[in-house]
Amino acid sequence: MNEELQDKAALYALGALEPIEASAFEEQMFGDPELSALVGDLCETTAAMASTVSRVEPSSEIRARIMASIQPSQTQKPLQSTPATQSTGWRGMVGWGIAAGLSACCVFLWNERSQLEMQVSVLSGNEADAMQLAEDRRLDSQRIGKELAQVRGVLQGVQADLSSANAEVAQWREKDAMAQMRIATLQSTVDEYQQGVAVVVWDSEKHEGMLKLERMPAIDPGKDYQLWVVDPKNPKPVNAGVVRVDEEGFANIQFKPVDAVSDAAKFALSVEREGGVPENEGPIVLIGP
Amino acid sequence: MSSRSESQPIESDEALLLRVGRGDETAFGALYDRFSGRVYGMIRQMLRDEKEAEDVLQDGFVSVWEKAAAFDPDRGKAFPWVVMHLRHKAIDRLRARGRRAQTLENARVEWQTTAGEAVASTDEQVECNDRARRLTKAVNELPEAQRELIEMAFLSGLTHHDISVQTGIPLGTVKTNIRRGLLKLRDGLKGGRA
Repeated sequence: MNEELQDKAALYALGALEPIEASAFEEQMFGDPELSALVGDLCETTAAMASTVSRVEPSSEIRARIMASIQPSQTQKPLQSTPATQSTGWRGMVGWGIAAGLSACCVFLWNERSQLEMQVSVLSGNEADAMQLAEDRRLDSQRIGKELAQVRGVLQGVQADLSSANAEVAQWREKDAMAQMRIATLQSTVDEYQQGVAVVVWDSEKHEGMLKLERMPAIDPGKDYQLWVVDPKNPKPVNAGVVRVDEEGFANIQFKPVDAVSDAAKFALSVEREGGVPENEGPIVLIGP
Repeated sequence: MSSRSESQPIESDEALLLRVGRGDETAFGALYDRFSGRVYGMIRQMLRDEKEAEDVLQDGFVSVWEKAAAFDPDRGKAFPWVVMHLRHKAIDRLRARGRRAQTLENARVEWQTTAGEAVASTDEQVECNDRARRLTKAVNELPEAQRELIEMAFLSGLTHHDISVQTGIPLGTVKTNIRRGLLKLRDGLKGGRA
């Protein structure tokens, strides 16, 4: 038997339970012989405590009052029956009639009282059940609240982890984007152009790039620099657009070849007719590695 | 527990109470004579008011008369059964009035000082004397915390919640001490019997 039941049994024996608790416990005890036996023992112990108190004899008047007030209850069968007497006529009949009426009233009142006691008992039981149910619901609500708080905590943790993971993914994407970039420096074998600086940044993912030119020689009238992508898979250089430099030989343009090119492509700058040509005609003055 | 009369054989408490349950007024009178002294002493000590104690004694014994048919000797002895009825009446009275705190300390002091006297002054009921002596010994051997809480519960009519509030002791501790103490008293009572 668990300690909670033993607690209740001890409190019940001492009369220290709340009335509702006591009613509920009595119902529980009714179906549990072991518990019932324990309660019997503890009640006997409590009664023995009463034995240790000095006995005090109550006055005889109280005894007389008690004896006068007791009535046979409905469940008791009187041991002494009233001796039968013969009717002595009309007055006797009236007396018996009154007595019978009173007896009937008594029986009726006892019945009523018994029924009321039963109803009170049932209502007490129902109240105890309702209290227990309410208590169970309250405990359930507390438990669910705790679980909900735990779930919320876990969810917050997951959200934090997700944010962290997203940030990490963004970093990796940035790194990946950088990895997709290729930087090529174009060089020249022609003395005139060796002082020029030409750098291409090529994004192989987007197939577009940026060209930066510095200190390029001024170009003859009627001519333009033109950028080409030399792809080994393509028999002819792919046009990437005309490049115009300023007076200081500076240019910074974004370009996109007119055809798809492979990752192994090189970049070249040529001098073409003004406005550019669809296919390379003029000399290549700069070329990438 | 049994009573001895000069001219009649000893009738057990249980047999007497069973007769009361069958509506035997003579048996009820005998039962009253047998138990009322000890029960009245207990009630007086709980209530600390003679008039109220008399009222409770009367209500309680009338209740015993009315409920005696429900007594089952297989489920317990007669004296505890009667004591429980009377204690419930006394507890109801205590809870109905608001003087529990004032009466408690006096009652505890008196119980502690008269418990030994009861052993010495009880009458010819040897077994009852012996049980009272064993229980007194067991009570005195209890740890103080357990003894005080059991005394409080026994005498005051307070519920365990009220005891916790009044003493400031956590409810769980109150329950545990009362359980452990009462089980020790039970064991002391049973051990002494063997």
